[in-house]
Amino acid sequence: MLLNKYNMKKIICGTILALLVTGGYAQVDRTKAPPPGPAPKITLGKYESFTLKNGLKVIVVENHKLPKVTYTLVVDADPTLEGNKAGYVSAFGEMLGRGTATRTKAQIDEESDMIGASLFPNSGGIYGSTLKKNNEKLLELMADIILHPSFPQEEFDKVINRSKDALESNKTDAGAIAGNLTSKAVYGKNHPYGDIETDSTLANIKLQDVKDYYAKTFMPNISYLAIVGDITKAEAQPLIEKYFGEWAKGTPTKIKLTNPIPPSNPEITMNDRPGSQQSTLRFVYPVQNTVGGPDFLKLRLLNNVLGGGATGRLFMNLREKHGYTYGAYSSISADENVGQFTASADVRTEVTDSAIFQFISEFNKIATGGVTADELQSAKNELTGSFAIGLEDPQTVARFAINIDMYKLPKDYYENYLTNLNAVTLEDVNAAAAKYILPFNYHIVIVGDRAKIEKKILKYDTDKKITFLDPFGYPAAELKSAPSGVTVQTVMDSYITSIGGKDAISKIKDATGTGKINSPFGALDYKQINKYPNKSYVLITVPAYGSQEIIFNGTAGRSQGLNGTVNYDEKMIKDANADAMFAYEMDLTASGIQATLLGVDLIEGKDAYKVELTYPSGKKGYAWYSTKTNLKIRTATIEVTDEGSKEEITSFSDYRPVNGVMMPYYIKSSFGDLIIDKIEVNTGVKDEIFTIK
Amino acid sequence: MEKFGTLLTLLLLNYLSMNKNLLVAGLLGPISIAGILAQSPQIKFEEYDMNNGLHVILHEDHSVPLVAVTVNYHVGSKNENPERTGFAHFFEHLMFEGSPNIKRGEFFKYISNAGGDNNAYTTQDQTFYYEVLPSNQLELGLWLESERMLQSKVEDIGVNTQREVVKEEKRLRVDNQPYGRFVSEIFVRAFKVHPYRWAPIGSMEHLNAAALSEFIDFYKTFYVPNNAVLTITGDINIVTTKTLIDKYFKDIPKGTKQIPRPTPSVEPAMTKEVRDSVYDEFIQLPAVIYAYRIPSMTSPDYYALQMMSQVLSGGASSRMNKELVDNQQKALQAFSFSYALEDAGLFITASIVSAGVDVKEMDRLMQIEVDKMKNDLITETEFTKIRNQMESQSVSANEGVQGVATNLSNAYLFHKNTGLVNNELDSYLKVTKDDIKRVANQYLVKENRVVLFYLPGKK
Repeated sequence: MLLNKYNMKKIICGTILALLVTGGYAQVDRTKAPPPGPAPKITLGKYESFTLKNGLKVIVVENHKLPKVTYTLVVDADPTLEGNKAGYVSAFGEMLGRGTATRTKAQIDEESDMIGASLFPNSGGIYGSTLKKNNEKLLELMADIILHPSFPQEEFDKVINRSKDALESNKTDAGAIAGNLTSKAVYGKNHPYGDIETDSTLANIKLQDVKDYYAKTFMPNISYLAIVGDITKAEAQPLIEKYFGEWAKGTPTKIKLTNPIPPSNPEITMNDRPGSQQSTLRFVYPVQNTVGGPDFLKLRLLNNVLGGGATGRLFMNLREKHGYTYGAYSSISADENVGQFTASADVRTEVTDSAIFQFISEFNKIATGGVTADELQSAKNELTGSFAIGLEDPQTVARFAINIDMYKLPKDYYENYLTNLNAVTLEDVNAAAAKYILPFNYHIVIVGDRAKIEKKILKYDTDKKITFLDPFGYPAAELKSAPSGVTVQTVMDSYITSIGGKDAISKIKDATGTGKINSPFGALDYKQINKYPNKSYVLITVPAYGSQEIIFNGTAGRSQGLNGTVNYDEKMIKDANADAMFAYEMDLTASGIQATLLGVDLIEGKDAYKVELTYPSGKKGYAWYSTKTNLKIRTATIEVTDEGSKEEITSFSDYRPVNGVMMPYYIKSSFGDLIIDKIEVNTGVKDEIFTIK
Repeated sequence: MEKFGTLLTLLLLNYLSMNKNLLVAGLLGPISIAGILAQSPQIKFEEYDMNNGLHVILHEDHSVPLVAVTVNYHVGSKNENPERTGFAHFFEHLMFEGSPNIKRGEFFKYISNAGGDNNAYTTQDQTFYYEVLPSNQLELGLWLESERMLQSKVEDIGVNTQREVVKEEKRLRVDNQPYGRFVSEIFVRAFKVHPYRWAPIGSMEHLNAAALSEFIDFYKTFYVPNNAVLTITGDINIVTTKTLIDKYFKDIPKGTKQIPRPTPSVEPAMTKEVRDSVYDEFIQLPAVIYAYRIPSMTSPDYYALQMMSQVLSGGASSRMNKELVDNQQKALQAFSFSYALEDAGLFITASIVSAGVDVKEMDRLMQIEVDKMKNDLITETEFTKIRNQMESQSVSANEGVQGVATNLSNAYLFHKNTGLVNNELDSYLKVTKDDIKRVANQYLVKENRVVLFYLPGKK
């Protein structure tokens, strides 16, 4: 019995134990995030360094995980103002690797590909990576490229041609355009960061510029070579001395820059990109911030809260709350000369103004209200994590070593990085927010469809004057050029076709229209009669007051009535002749009007061909024809008076067919809005009405 | 470098590599597992199936105190109803909306608060989620991923918000982006029956038209353990990790619905060259694209095709770069690659044409390169070069905890051969010069291709 009892107990215990165990799993507490285990120790990889006699500083980071070695050469030259030769520094970068004293470009490419290497020369140095076994071959190639470039003219021509093609393809790339406009708005033309490459600056670059740049900047005593991978310092040092030892020292050019300041008020700089599906938005201004500087860590934390990623306020607001964009972010860059604040998103066109509003609200909120303790802790956690994740790449340690030397940081800067980061207080970050987030001193750079957004965003520009720039940051031409194949004749012909065609127009012998003008003086009655080929009669009646008649009989004209009498002079007669025709577009020669196609203009948000008209008298005017409907939507005459010239604009809309010819029923001018009630044609208008008494 | 890099980014990185844009990195993700190419060092791993069908792969590596937690769902745009395209990618967005235990908007916060990083991508064949975390936060990653699999919120508020976000993503990456329709315009012409005919971004109209119940149904069909691979790599202890996986995943019920998968063979062979032009108002330089139908990424011919693309455009000394870009200066960029997917693929060669060069001239020059490939064996020098390039690439293939996790996971998902990560280089080195000529003649034929002129201007 006892035995049985004992066994029984054991069985029960076993079952209970089993129940507990399974029960434990079944009741896993999913309601709370599991707590972390003890934090792992984050250790910085070790590096060693040595300096060649010529001043080249070399950093070696051993990492034997993979049998490969990478080299990064950084030439720490001061930025150069390229001005009207913008693009020569990058052309220089393209030229490196396109020939040495003993190798052609093709030979370099072949040798590098043959060992399966990656090799990327650039204007600031060179990057190369290869299997350990090909280490010396790669090093020899890299040194040859850097020490003995030959800069052949033929390759230079190719580089310039390729640059032109690349520029061409960037012309319609919203991101590239926004970059150019940012350079222009923030830095302007007197700062290297404001240099913008264009077709004309490319045309100014000579091979000698490239050679001079090399001579002036590429020298070992301002350069760093980082070596990372399956290699020891003992192995590396003799190789580096062998291949880079003969690189001659030089005297670097020191450049003093005048750094830009933020604008005193919000200013919009925009590139019109018709048809754009989104508005590319950038809020930008210069910031004084250097790597390891006094506010560097505070600004990293602050930016992380504002717009550092998918948990930033900008992302949560513009994407997760409003669905305006795929992503909204900010950054505060650190730079030896001048850093930059940037907040950005690409938002759908219709919500451009609402998105701007949300950005500005977030700037205000953080500048005045600061961040919360939770947000700060979260930012610290995230930056601590990304520091640790960054260390997975052995290149990071090499970069730290270069930074310490380049930015004159304490030797233990990165050892203490996390401690310092976590020591930043809420007060520190909030003070930085108040100092660096400027709710009223930013440029808004926009690339988008002007016609759809201009009116709505105007309120965000202090002087209500948006600066329109072309894709390269130059003042936008008033007009876009007309597509090839479009001439003044095709515009005229298309207009005639669109209103009904020559045949239909020719069938109209006379036309009588009546309507009302809503003028500042009240409603006026309006009547206009035209008779083929060039007679016209206009009667404007001010009810219960009087009227004005304007008559042209083909050879003479007079305006008479309330406003007094004016007999047409010779010039007026010449011009009236053209105006009295139903459509001078049908026969420009007969009208005596000279017409020139100027380009494509934007009229009330729609594209229209702008044609300059020179009347027989020499008087100038313009006419605009919609690119879409081909209808004439606007005319202007230039009245020259003693006080200067003035454009008198008349707009036409509400076209309706009358006997197969489209005629405007709504005509707007400075005089008032003319609304036509009725147009009758071929009623047999007698010549008497055009008699000048 | 940068200015020339722009177009490369557009045409290649944007589509083919896993970029790091937040959420939905690249709609297409890495094009194939065959890019794994790992050789040294060997990746040791353990794998097993749980009772609910979840496949688990574990790899222990203590070199850095990080852990990658990844879940690879075997659902992509090819599993979609033709009337509801874009669902798979849309889900990738929706799957960050939380669960009964994770409030809306907090998914990201848990990860960043833990010092982690995360992202996801969707292709025609898969939807991949990952977190990289400090290794003491492994359990957090498991909790988040198990909540996503067990009880993700599929609700109106999330659906409505993410619908807008996805529309913006399409505008950003496709409609407003120069050459943005590159991939979709090729696939729609190369595939007439198979769901590869539509792109993962899908149709906004379909997303608008879908009812909440359809989203819930999609979740219950595809987001089930028996349709997923859980891969964990990095600073872990295998035994403890298994216990934790049991804790969070064991009780997630197996899916009960039939998982729709297209039959690869539904797509008939092409019989006639398709030639067409498309217009893009945001480009200045035209592009000429050839797309040849090729078999699945699991086909043995895959390796020869990859080697062929290396001859054409691998490195500055490759044929297209040397001839079209540098010597003749007719192309701003020229490239080729195998866009191999699970059921079928395309071998693409393309050029962005320099200003003033006629697209017909570029067409002629590209055809010459294709013909050379078919008529002559590649040279001994070329052969040595591409083998060296493959060897070099294979060494870098398994870098980083997340890179290793991705490769392991894809090797299992698409090849049912996780060990491929350790021996794929052999498959490349087995390819002969004759193999390359043979695949050129087998696949690079006119009847088997789409030729697309991508021209500046409005439709």
